[in-house]
Amino acid sequence: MKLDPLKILLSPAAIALIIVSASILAVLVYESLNTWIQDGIGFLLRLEWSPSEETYGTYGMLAPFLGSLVTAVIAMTVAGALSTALAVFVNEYAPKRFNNFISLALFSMAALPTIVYGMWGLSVFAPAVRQSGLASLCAMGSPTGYSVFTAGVVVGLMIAPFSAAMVLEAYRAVPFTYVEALHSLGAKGFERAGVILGLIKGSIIASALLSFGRAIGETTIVAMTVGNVINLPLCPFQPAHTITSLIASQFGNAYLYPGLQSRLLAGALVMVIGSSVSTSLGMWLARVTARRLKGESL
Amino acid sequence: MISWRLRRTMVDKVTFAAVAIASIALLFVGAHVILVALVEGLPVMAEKGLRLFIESPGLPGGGIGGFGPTLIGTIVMVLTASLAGAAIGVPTGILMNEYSSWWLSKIAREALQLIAEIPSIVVGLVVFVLVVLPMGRPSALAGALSLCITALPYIAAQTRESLAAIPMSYREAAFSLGLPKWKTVLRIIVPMNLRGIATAVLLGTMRALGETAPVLFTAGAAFHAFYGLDRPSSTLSLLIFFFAQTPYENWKRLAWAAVLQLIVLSMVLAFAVRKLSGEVKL
Amino acid sequence: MKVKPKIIAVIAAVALASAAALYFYLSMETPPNPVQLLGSGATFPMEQIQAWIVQVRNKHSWVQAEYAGGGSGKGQSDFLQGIVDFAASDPPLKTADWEKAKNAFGGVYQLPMILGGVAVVYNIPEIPSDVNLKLTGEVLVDILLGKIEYWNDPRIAELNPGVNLPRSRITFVHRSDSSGTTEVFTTYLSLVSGEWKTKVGAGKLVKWPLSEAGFAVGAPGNPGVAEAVRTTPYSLGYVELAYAKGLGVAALRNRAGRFVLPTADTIKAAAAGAITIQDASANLVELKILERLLQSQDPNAYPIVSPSYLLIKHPSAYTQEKRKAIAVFLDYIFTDGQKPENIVAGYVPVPESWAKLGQQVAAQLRDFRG
Repeated sequence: MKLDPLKILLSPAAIALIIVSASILAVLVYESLNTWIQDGIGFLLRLEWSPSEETYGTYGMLAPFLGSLVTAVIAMTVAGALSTALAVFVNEYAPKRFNNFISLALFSMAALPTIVYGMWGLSVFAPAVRQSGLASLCAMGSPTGYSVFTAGVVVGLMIAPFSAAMVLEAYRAVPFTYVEALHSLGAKGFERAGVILGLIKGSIIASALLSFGRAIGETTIVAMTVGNVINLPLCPFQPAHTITSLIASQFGNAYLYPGLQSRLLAGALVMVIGSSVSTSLGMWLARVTARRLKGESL
Repeated sequence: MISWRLRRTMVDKVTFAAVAIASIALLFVGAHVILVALVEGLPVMAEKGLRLFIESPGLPGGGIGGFGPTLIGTIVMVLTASLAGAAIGVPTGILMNEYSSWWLSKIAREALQLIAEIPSIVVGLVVFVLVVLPMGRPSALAGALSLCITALPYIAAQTRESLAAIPMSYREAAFSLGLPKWKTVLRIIVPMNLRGIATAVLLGTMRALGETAPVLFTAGAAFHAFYGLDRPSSTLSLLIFFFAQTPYENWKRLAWAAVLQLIVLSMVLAFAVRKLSGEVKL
Repeated sequence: MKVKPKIIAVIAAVALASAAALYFYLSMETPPNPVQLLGSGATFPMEQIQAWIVQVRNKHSWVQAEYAGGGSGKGQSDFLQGIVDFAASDPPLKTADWEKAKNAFGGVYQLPMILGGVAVVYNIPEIPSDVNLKLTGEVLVDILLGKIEYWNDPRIAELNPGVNLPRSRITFVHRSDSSGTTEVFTTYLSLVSGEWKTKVGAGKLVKWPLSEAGFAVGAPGNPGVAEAVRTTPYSLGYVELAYAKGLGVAALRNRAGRFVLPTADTIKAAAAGAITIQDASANLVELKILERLLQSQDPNAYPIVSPSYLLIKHPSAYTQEKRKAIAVFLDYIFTDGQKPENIVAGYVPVPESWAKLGQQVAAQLRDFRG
């Protein structure tokens, strides 16, 4: 086999990248090994959280685990609903001259760092939630405005521009013949939207899965708005912890508590897996939908 | 018949109202986020002027001071991260596009996918274990490494995408001249696509600039001076994270000024990207 | 003719300026190379440490300390893992950790650097700022155990005749990080109530009963708790006195039966019972310093007073330049730093004997020959 000089030139970088990702996995697995050996996934299903400096302590992560799930589901719903609505609005109702403005606005929103949204959540949205009195809907609603709902919505708003870009792209990829046919049948905006959304259902679900993957790993916004208590999030207006916010608030002192560091890293590994599965599923679905749409137009 | 038509019109109107309100709400939030930062941050910038970019933060409850050392730390860390990210990400992107069926490319693609899906706080934890503990202190270097890892997927993926967009005809023309593949890529394809590669690197830089979680446990929290690459440092996002959650009016105001500063820097990068390559997915 | 005076003036100015510069240069001692000291830990003494850092910088510009806060738990964690040069913690290291530190660094000094009081703070809009709520340890325990749920509970009203107490649910704000302030506060509660001691106990991280009931939120650091109380009507929290500015502060009933506010005087009164520490490198847990302070019988003593400790490694565990810098840093803290003009409002200097202890360790670091 002849050696390609370009391959030789480019390979070191690729190998470095592979080493980086392998070592991330290796560190996560190695540092959390204790948890898996002792407990399997038991720590994820246990509620009991009693830290101890003297003994191994009990660090059941059920509450933060559910906190992560609920927060991500709220974020995914907010991002999904807003981006679908936006796609319908842009394509069926809004004058075409708005298109540039909207895409510019979405682009700018996507460019804002997450900490900026976090700051907005902390000083604008959380106080608004507190004053709205929504918390009284829950038996144990958050009196501070910091809650799973607050975190989920702000994360959802942060993700919405990305999700909207994806849905808009899918919407526009629908073959023109369909749109033309709908118009010639005299279909109204909501009817056209109904048909087209049905066609791109796959892409919408795909974007939702990607949003979920993104939301579950979000730390900054969540740590600033979720309320930071270990609590089963039975109601969205309750304060809670997510795995990421728990890591942000506990990893710094985890060395003092035998067992805590391992549990936190095991939680991190679970998140990596969760986010991987949802993202891969989303990307696969997006590809399938795009291919099917193309196939149907031919 | 009429009632049916009426119903259709009404449903259409309701749908219109619903999607319009949702769309406007989303865009309004975006505008509001920036507006609040302007309202809170501009007075601080006006009050402190250039000193904001030189001084270090005041004492709790004291003067505002500035974020000078943190700004230097941010620039050093983000630049280091994007340079290192470019050094690894660009060649990997080229490799993944030019030899997409080679085994190394396939592994690299999987590795890249994995890194892209790892929550950024986890990257910070791993760098803490692998770099901070052995070094015996958090440092700008450890922070830069974490940021580099979070920026890598964007750089590599964007590089690959921009290369893939080059029409096949250019390669065919080069091959027909008898140029070997490596010369075609290095002399024609890559130079032709410098714009795309620059876009990729800028995108990565933007990501690195915006991240907070990876530097939480790796960069340290040194706000009073910039001490060097191997010493504790801080970033603007870290300053916001720490200072915003305190009761001190002067620290909160400094945090708002930092928010505004961060928005300005991100927007400059984002619009540089847009200028270079038109519509780009962020 | 017109130009000459100008030229002379310029020459004179330049000469004067260079003479001044030369004088300035010669009068300046060549400072040692800058040395960075990194610390983290307790937020209880953080305002004071930040102030000291600036004071030290103004006096010895080459000693560049940075203090990251993060809670006593993070301070101890970082210290034991060897990623900071010094740490601060309100409780001393637990025996097992003290041994770990001793083995890792050849010894560890725990120096009480400042005294403070844990203020019980609240946000009740109905209560005017010149009125202080009165509480007892027993009522506090029952609030935190969930037995007293509303601000107008008869047991609170009984202590506060004439105060307009609203019928609002009490929201508790606690620390989300591993905190020395929490340990001090829960140690106090454990001394007050056997039920608290068995059900919850004392520690840097505890299981708050109210958190399980959904009436509590966590916030990072003393500043975070103060901010959460400030923005949450009807909330109750605990912070070091320095963080209580602008919040309602409760007067607590002390062991002599008097209701006292946390002030410099009442903290000092409690500290009168502070015992002497013979050896800062010993295992301080055994001395039960905090328990003694909390049990002060002085009629003017505030009931929740605690020192905060600086954790310093054995001199041999530092490089020569770091050793010198830490010696300067410590020497300042335990001499000039204890003077009233350098103490931040809300803190109290340590007793003379503790300051001496710090000065001795500073001297040991300075004179150490490796």
